[in-house]
Amino acid sequence: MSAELKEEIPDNHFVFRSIRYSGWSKQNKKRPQEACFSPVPDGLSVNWEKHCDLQNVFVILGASKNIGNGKYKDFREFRAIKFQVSEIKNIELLEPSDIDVVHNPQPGNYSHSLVCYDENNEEIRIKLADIVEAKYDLIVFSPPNPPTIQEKIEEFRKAEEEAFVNSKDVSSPEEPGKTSPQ
Amino acid sequence: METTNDITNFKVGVETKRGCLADSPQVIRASEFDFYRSETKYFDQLRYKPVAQITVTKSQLVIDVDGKSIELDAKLEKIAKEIEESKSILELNDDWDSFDAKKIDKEVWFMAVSLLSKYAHYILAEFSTVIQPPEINPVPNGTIDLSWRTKNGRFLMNVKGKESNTLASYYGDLYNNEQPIKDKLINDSIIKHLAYWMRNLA
Repeated sequence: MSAELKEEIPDNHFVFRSIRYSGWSKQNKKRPQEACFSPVPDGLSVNWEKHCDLQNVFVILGASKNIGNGKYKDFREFRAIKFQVSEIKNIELLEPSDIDVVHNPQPGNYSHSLVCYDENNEEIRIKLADIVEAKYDLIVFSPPNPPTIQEKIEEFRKAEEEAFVNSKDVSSPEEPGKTSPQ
Repeated sequence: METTNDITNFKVGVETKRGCLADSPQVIRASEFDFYRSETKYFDQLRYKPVAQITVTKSQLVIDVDGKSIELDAKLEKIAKEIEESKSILELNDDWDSFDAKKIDKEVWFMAVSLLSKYAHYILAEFSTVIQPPEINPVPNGTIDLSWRTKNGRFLMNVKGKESNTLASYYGDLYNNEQPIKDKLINDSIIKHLAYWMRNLA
């Protein structure tokens, strides 16, 4: 499917937000820090469940690199939160404010989507964190079957490195690890 | 974190012609004394005069960062500890979250902890209330979050960078959206109704 083709995300669908272990509250390990819901630069990155199941959320993480040190991310350091789109859009707010969930496919990650809202709206961030705490046991997931995830990541990395070597003389390809599997 | 001692209080009372105290003398804080002294009319009306500068010592906690220091009343020890621990935020490099996060500028951190200290002191002085320490967290856009959850309420204040028009934005309520408070701070002057609301963070 083309990365340019954007779909409408229905309200009854689900999206995954990945958060590293260090991004959870020190006082309450069931509540993420509000900092994890900072919608920058263009929105909060999520994966649309229709095109990416829970296992693949972690494969995508493990197949991508840290921008700072160029090393692959360790998917075991993350947990994934599963939000229903309507739950995000219908957060009760003091004043009306736009919250939208839009499909934003990226090369190698067609499921990529964005939750868009004003980055200065602390009310949304504090309420998202508290939704997670209240529903922790139902919506927060650790990597399911890590050996299988690792296997898929290795396959992807290998394929990507081979593609990089093969295309080296043809054009200027993307560096391995900068794209992710769907 | 260092501890210092300071003389901060005055004993005041009604002075008679003989120079004795007719009523029970009261001890007031130096900051309050300055207020009484400046409000001459009020001062005369009460006939209260300073009769002694008493040597009550008060511990203070001092946190130093790069030549700048923050002093906290000993009663705010938990907040001082949280500020001290949050210095580690300054060691984060760009991409600290693996998703291209910005490094936290020292000025932003200092603004955040100064603001925290200022409100905590004001609430202590005005309402004799010691608020709980917040979690001090870095945010990927280079700002700092001060985050509270207490028995009575929740509160989030985001302290911005230099390039922002506002110093901070905040939201709080007493859970279930009760008594919400939401606004922006343009500068670090104390907003009295915000400080009053923040008593809920004790």
